[in-house]
Amino acid sequence: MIGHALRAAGWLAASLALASVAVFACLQLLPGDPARVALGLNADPAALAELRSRYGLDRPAAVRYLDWAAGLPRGDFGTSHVTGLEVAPQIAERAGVTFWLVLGALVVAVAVALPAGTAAAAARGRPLAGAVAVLSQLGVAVPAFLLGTLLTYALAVRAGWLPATGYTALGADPGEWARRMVMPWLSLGLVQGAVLTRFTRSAFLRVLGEDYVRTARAKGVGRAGVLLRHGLPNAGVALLTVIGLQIGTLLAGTVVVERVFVVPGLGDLLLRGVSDRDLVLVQGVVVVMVAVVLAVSALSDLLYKVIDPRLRSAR
Amino acid sequence: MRPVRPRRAPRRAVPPRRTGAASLAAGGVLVGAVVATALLSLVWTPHPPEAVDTGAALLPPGGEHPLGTDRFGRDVLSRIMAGARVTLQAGVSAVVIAAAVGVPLGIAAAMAPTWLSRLVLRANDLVLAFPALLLCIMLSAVYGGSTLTAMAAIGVATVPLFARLARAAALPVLASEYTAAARAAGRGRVAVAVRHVLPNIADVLIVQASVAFAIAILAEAALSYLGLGTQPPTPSWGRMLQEAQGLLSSAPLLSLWPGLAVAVAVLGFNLVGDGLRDLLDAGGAREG
Repeated sequence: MIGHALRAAGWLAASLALASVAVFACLQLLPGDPARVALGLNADPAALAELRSRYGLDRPAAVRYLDWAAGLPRGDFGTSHVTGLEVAPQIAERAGVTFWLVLGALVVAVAVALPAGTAAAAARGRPLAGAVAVLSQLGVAVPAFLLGTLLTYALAVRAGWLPATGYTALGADPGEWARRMVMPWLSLGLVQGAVLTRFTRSAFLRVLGEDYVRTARAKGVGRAGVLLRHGLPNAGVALLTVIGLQIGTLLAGTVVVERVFVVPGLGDLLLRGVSDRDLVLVQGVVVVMVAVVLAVSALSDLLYKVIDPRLRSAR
Repeated sequence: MRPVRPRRAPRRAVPPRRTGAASLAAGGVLVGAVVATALLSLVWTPHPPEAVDTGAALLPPGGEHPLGTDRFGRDVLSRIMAGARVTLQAGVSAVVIAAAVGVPLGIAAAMAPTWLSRLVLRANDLVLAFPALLLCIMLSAVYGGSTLTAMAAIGVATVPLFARLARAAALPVLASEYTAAARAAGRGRVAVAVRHVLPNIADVLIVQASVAFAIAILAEAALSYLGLGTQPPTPSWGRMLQEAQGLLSSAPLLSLWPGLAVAVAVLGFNLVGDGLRDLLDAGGAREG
């Protein structure tokens, strides 16, 4: 098991390094001249030269990459060419907001998917299962920004229960924070829940077709007992894997949801970086998001092996 | 993602119900409607989709404007119709890019020595760590938002899905006796890949293509919503929804139409994918 963990950590480190090269290449090499991106096409040559020398943009790309990448493990993400601000503190300030957004959305998603998927599997062939199938199919098709808009209309505009947009810091007023996060959580979580429901249902159905379940039934274990003892652990493992695979989609979804509800998280910072043409900032946020995706999928892979010993010998 | 389906009929001896035909029919109708709308918009829309008429701003649905007008007095129905074109363009180009790169890569990986094959898989995983939307946002920081940037980025982000699937589906074909016979008869690698592997994995790939189409539509809509995809004045559903959001309290229906259009298109392609998967029993394609 320790060998597995070490190998996973090795791959993770290698992937992180490669991902940082890819991000750097996209944002610093593709545009040709980062100084011109920062200052615009009609920039004054003297200002361009000044910017290049101030941020060392006249050095070879490989040197600039190493300079930037060497700072990453220390938590130094470089300095913006546009605002002159350090990137790392801005990311640190926003990361918590996005973390709670993702966590809340995951809770919503699992809270929807587990009961709905279980019910659909247990009621196979009956109307309830059909209803769940139709609803989850619809849920997958509804983009988060549409669901967010619908929720805003229903809960904020018509009912007036919740404020439509705006954010209160968790530290300042936890109650108000939760009130403002309800709609972002639901918009992101319900869509994800629809995806997870389908996987939960499939996982349950697969287990219910196994010989050992038939044996359990034959020796007198009830339907509910079988679902709980054999279905749930297997569905749990399936959910874990899917969450590991879906974390990227979820993070990308936060960018949209943060825009809909004006939540000041990483996605909001990323979009500000894009509109300011602040490449160093964009680079930093993207690297953080990709690192999270890689780390979570490595972790879920490892957990999968801890839970299911059969997989340890594989590969 | 692994195929997840029951191996045998669970509990009771209920024959497994095949819903494939129904899904395919329903999806076909929805996709057909979107395609027909896009084609029709090339030759006819009730009003020019980009024509501004400030005197007729924010009209409710009915009469001359069946879905009403937006705050610049543009006809919403015409804009939805024209938006279908952008949506289909995004889907087609993303799927074509992804399949054209991913499928040969996947088949080549299946035929390559183990180490090379694993390397391709690892590279795949790395690209998968960049969600389509994030890749698009990153590229639009460099090139500015445009339909072209969006389509290229969505295509690149979808390549790994095709590569992985093509490889997984090609492996059993390559292990089969008829492939061995073809090789023994002197057929080259490329000939085997084109004449034996490709036709045998086509069904799985078609299912994947329709799922990827749906993903591309969602990504394009999200990008346009963020203002990084299709730029005005070209109408796109995501952009329309974003413009309508500020008017949610006074003109809520304005948000509903483009949102509904996206949902219908995505639902259609997902249903087609589900139906085909069920009918072809292409279990290798992704679930969910």
